[in-house]
Formats: sequence, C-alpha cells, structure tokens
Amino acid sequence: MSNPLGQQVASAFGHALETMAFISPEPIELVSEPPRDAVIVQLDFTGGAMAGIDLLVDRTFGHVIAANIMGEEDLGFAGADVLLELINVTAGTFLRQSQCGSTEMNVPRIAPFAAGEWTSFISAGHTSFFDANGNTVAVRVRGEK
Amino acid sequence: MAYHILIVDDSMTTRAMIKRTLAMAEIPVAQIHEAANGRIGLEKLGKHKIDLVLADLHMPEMGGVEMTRRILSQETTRHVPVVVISAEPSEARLAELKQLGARACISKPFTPEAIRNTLNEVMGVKHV
Repeated sequence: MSNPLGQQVASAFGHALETMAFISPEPIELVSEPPRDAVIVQLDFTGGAMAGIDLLVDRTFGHVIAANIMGEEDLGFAGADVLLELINVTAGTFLRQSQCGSTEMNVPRIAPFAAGEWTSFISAGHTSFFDANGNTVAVRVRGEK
Repeated sequence: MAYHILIVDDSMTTRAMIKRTLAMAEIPVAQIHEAANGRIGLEKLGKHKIDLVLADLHMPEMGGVEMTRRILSQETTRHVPVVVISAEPSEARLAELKQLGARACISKPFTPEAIRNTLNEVMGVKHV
C-alpha cells in the first residue's frame, strides 16, 4: 500500500478504532479471501474527488467492538450500529486529515458481502488490510471521480 | 455539582461511548437522558431538568442543527448549553454552528481529555 489516499484512510481507520474501542489494528499483507461471514460497510461522498470509503469485515467483528465499547457482551443488536458508526468516524477523520472538508458524507449503509465479489473489491480502489484482534479488516477508498 | 446531561445521537454505539467517556473524564453526572434524534431530544428537554446537551448533527427526523436552533430560540431552553459531537469534517460548517449558538464542537473520535477540557470550558468549572 503506497498510495497516499490509501495510507490516509488506513491511518484514519486505525485512529478511529483505537479511540472508539481500544483496538489497535495491525497492517497485514493482501489476504486471499474475504472474511467468512463478511459484510461490506459503505459511506459515499458528495462533492469531492473520491466516491467514498468501504470497510469489509466479518459480521461478528461488530459485536467484538460493541463489547469493548459497552463493557459487556453485545446482545446482538449493536453489531451493525457500531460498524456504521466506525465508518462514519473513519470517513470524518479521513476527510479532515486530507483537508477535504468541503466533501459531504452521506448516510452509511451495511450489506452482506458475497465471496465471489472479492477479486473485484480488492482491485477497485486503494485497499489496506488489517488484523484487528484476530479479525481481518479491509479498508478501501473508492475511486477518484 | 452533578449534571443532568442529554445525549442526542442516532447511534446507540455513540451514546454508549459518550457515557463511558464522561465516566472516564470523571465528569460528575446526576442523570443521563438519551434521544435518537432532535425531535425526541426536544421532547426530553421539555420534560426533564437538563444542564447540558451533547448532540450529533446528522440524525433522521430532526438533525442537530435544527434542534440547536429550536433550543436557542425558546425562552425556556436557550440557557442550556449545546455541545456538538460529530464526525463532520468541515471547519466551515462547525464554525457556522458556533455562530448559531452551539457552545463548542468536539470531533469524533473523542477522548476523555477532549470531553473534560471542553466541558470544563463550557460549564465554567474544573473537575480535575
């Protein structure tokens, strides 16, 4: 990962996760397949040069983060909410740090991710990979418009 | 003095983080009220004693800007300080909010120190 945008979004993601949930993600090399029960969390931009950012994680990672934040085992309803908030905070941090404050953030969304889309996911945009407490996370800034 | 605080954010995660961070910052809290959007926030403000509002910006039904505008336009609530806590990246937009009357803006992700320092300034007391 040498692209400046990719580095910036990776840095923003790390900062967001550490501050929110006290989890320090470790950069790892390209992984050959997506997490088993993967979800894709996406936040689109309006008005800037980039289309948006994406997180690809195992669905259960949301529960892990929620448990860290709430200090108790996630009862099952907070996992998606926390992933949406994580991408929201990552995006805001990324835009501030890359001095793209005029870019607007849209409402984030989450959806199941089909393993068959993995190759096209990692080839479109600047993707970084992390190990976060044993969970593989892919973070991508999507296409310059 | 212990505060009655209203947290307005559509994310239950963020509301939980703010509560945790208030505790870590050792802010004295008498009671915390929560609302998932500005409309519910205004309802709670009308029913309960509230010393401070911590508000997100982008929420369904009624966002933080409109809620802040209404709080500050009403005789019974304009004395309540509103602090915006948001991932909003635009300094210009945050400056507009302060012109509107928000006492301070804290960027997400927030630390206990940021919360403590801002609340010390807004509430005019030192807790640590």
